[in-house]
Amino acid sequence: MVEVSLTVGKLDASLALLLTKDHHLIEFPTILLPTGVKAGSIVSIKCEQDSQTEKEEAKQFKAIQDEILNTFGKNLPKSPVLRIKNVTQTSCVLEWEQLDLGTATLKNLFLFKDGKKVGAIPQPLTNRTTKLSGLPIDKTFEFQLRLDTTAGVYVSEVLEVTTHKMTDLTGITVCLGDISANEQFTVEDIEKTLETIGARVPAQTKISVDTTHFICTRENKQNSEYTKAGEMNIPIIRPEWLKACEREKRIVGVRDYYVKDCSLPDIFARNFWNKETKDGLVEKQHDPLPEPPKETDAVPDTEAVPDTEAVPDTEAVPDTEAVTDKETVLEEVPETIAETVAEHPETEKEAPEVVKELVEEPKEPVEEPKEPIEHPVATPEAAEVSVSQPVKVTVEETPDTPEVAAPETPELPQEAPEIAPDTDDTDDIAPNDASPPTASPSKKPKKKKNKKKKN
Amino acid sequence: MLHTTISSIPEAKEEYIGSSLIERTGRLYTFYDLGPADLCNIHKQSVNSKTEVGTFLYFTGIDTSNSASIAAQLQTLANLITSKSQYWFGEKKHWKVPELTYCSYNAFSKVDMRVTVHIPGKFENQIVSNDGKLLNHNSDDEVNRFWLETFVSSIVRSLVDGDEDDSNKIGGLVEVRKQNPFGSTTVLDNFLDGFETLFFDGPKLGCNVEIPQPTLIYNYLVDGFVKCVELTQCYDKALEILWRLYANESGVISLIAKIYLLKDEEIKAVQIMNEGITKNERDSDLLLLQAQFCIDKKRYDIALHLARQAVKSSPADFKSWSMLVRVYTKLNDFENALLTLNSCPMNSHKEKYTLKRVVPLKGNDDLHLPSPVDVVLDEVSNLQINEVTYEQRNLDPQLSNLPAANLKSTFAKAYDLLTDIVVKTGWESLLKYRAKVFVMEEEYRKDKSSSAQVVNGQKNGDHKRNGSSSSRLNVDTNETEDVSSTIAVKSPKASLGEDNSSAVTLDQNEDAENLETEFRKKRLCERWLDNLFMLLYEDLRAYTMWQAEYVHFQAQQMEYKKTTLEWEILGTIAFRLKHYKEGSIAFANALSGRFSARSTREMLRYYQIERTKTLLKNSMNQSQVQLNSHPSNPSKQVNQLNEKILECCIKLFVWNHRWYCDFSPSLVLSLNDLVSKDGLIKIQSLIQAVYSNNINNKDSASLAANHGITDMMEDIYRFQKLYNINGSDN
Repeated sequence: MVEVSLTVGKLDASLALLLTKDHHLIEFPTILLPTGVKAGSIVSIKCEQDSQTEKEEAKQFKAIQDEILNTFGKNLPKSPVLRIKNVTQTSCVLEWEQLDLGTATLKNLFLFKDGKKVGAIPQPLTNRTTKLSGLPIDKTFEFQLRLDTTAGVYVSEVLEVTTHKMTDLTGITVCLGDISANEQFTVEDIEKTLETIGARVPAQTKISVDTTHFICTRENKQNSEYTKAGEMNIPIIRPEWLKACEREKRIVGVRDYYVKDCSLPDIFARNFWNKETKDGLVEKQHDPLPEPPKETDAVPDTEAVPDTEAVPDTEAVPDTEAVTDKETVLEEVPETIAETVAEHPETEKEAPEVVKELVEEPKEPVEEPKEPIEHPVATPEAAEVSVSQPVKVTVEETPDTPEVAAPETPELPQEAPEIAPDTDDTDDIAPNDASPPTASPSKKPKKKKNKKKKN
Repeated sequence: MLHTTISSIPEAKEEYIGSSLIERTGRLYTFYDLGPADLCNIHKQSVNSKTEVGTFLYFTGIDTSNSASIAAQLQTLANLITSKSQYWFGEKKHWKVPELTYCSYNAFSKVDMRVTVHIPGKFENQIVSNDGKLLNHNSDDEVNRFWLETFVSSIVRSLVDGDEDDSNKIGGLVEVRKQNPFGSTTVLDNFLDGFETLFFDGPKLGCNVEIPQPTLIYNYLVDGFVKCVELTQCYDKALEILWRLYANESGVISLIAKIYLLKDEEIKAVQIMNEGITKNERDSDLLLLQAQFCIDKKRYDIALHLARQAVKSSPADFKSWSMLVRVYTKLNDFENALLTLNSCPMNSHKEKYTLKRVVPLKGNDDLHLPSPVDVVLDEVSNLQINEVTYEQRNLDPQLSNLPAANLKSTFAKAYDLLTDIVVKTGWESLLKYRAKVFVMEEEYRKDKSSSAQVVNGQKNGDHKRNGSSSSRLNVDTNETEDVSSTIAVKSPKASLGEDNSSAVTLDQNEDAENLETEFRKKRLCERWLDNLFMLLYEDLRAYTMWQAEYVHFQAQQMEYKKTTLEWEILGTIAFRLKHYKEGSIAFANALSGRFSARSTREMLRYYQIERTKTLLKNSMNQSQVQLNSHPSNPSKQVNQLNEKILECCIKLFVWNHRWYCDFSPSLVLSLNDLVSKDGLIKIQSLIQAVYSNNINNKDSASLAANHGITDMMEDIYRFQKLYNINGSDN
């Protein structure tokens, strides 16, 4: 221990000057001097090593260090886990488990397709799904997620995804919108059909990322799901489309089933629901210029979704392409879908007859629209209108390659909010709907003709 | 890819041929730390007439690893100059170059390495010692060592050079050409090897203002090394070297941890830091790194312990104290923040490293500053100097004389810490905190009067200075209440003082003891800190006046008109005071008038801050976003910010190129960052889409407006691909 005797030479605010006997000049904080000390007072200072406190501080410091190590030095991020949420003919929805970053900070989450970077996932912490559309039919891809964090880079396992064949209907995920009460079918009918064709049951009531089709019977801008479907470029179609798929055992084009833009009489004429019908319509069906339903008149499909879908006709192809070009969605366009589609019927061996029918059937509706100018025009228009919308869609997808447009093909939206009580339009139509069972046989010859023309 | 042309070579005329070399030799002994940029002296002869001139310019980023490579550079330069005729002060001249000399300062051994090339003829080397004498009798080994040292010095110079500063401010060095030294991986490897060899000589290069004396771990050599690793992302090589060095010097562990952090291996870094601190718990560099890490992780409580320990370990260094101030500020413990700020050791004799002139110019008339025409972006390249000087001449004097802008060294940093506090507390509370912890004028006076009673009036000059400076501040703050009503500069001391004085006269003895204890707890405010308060006040006043005026003009529906320079100053004030939003408005206004490199740089910084904020908010609000089905689209915001950042980068690249600078570490880092987020291909196509020549060719009017930008950027892509920068693969 050291003890020194010092004279307070000067006492200032905050600092005092202390003098030792051997002429050291020490600046000393006033606050540490005992009260009552004045300039000229003599104080003595004792100095002693405080090993006790030293030890305590060392211990505390050690504790802090341990805390840091345990808090930040142990908790490694985990590799992302990638899964398939839904696959359709030309798209797939991937989902992954909530990212576990440990204590690290996220930098980026990238999706790789066949070893190539597709793009960064926007908002990777909240987003847990991504949708890739415009994939070729019946092909296998390898997907992988790469998580960049401040504690290293982690990759998920490679996930193989094979897009469905045209005959595989399991990818259809519909969302139900407003279904008028006085239609000839009920929600149960729809659910049943979904079950029969192997689509996802039960139908969704809210649009989600894997929704491929939005099913309803009337336009209702008040229904937020309806608007959302429009924004997300999900085809908004009538439930008859499901029956058409069921009938043909393959995915059919949605073109003729747009709620906005379909020829109801035609649809009814085909008596999808097998219920008693009224005759009136059968005639109309042969009318070259069927009266478009009210909806179409009022608003020429601003919301109709461009649909490159499974339209197997060659004639439909131009449309498809036009749509494709305008769409600013992401993804590369696979070989023109029409081609892929065209191949399909041939490769399909099971039930060749059915296939044939399928191929033919869709043609007819296409052909008809040719005469009324509305149809061909309508689709490109729709595409244009929707150009601005894909931006939103991209949120779920990977916006990396803006040059390439992607067709949204066999998407089936789903999700059904409660069935709203009916109103105007649908009411009028309802009485007319069902077409006589005879209708379809009578169509057949016509279809065949079409086919010959093509060939 | 760009080829250097004669218009990328600035030159300055010599007084007489060779005078720049003589001047440099004469000043060698004044060089300290890293020394100046390399100097190149050119002897020019006119082909037709008999005229002869000597010119010179400075270089950074040239490979100076041996005399042959320098000679080759000189030869190329000579070919450039002789290949075409040159506009030389209004005349077209065709030159011959019979002789060139290149000088590069070896900051380790304090010698100047010179290479002279005679054309036609051979080249010769000289080594000039500090006192201007030729060193002739060196062994080969020594010479090789000298060259290695020279090479490392010159790379470090080009990396450490503060490129954030506006090179074009009045009186700045313009006759300098800066090249990217890392054009090939060999240079990188050589530099890394050189770093390893010379590591233990690092302190000879000096250090920045944060500590008074360079150490093995904290010096310019290490700064250059870390920056180089950051730029080229060669983490693994760097770690290899550091681990080898660690065997001999355990302090290297903090550098290893730092590199791991840069490499985004924070878990590993945390473990290493822990290991290092277990071995030496007084390693202040490591403690500071750890504290910074905890601040980044928002664990201020832990950071406080670490910062305290760092101060205990190196109480003489500004950096440890400043960390403690920052932590206290983060913890909203403003009294302690002020007290620790008051204890920061100041470093007045040091400055940030910048390239300086060695050879004085007689005037701007001696400068030959051609416009490189290979890269042109209309608004950037066509900025007229007289426009700027006009603005300068007509500058509002109230704005031009704000002293806070000219703070240097640790004072600037301390001011930054102070504004961090004021932005949280507001001015009035800051004054209260100040009055609480520091002895104020009135108290002092009162103390004196009371002590005068006891000790017969003792006077102290030092005291008085302190007191008077704070009194000055008081007076000012009181006056200003009228000047700007919006700043609440009511100084609490004024009223307090009155009360006290009456109290003193009435019942001194009663209160004396209370006041005494109260008073004794306080400290004297350092003079420089007192001064910083004054500067802060001036800044705040200018800022509030601007804001008030702006509102007034808006109310009157009048245009609030300022020149670009004035906007820029206002923006700088706002940024100094951490009002980034307002500052960015000012800078945007500045840029709407004309291009300004400084404003663009500040905008770039602002966008980067904003982006970090958006990303942070994005991850913080994770749970909320999930509830809210329609969040504002942050990824869109980030994309927009990225595009703006890219735009700023391009403009600055063009601007730098116009001023013969093709290497700016901070810009390359900004671009690397974009590339790692978006991928090189996307960045390339964005630039291609906006700045490609073809697009502009359609419109002949703008043909001349933009061109060469994609070529210029090619060089940077090449750099990124060469070093496989994260994201450059796709």
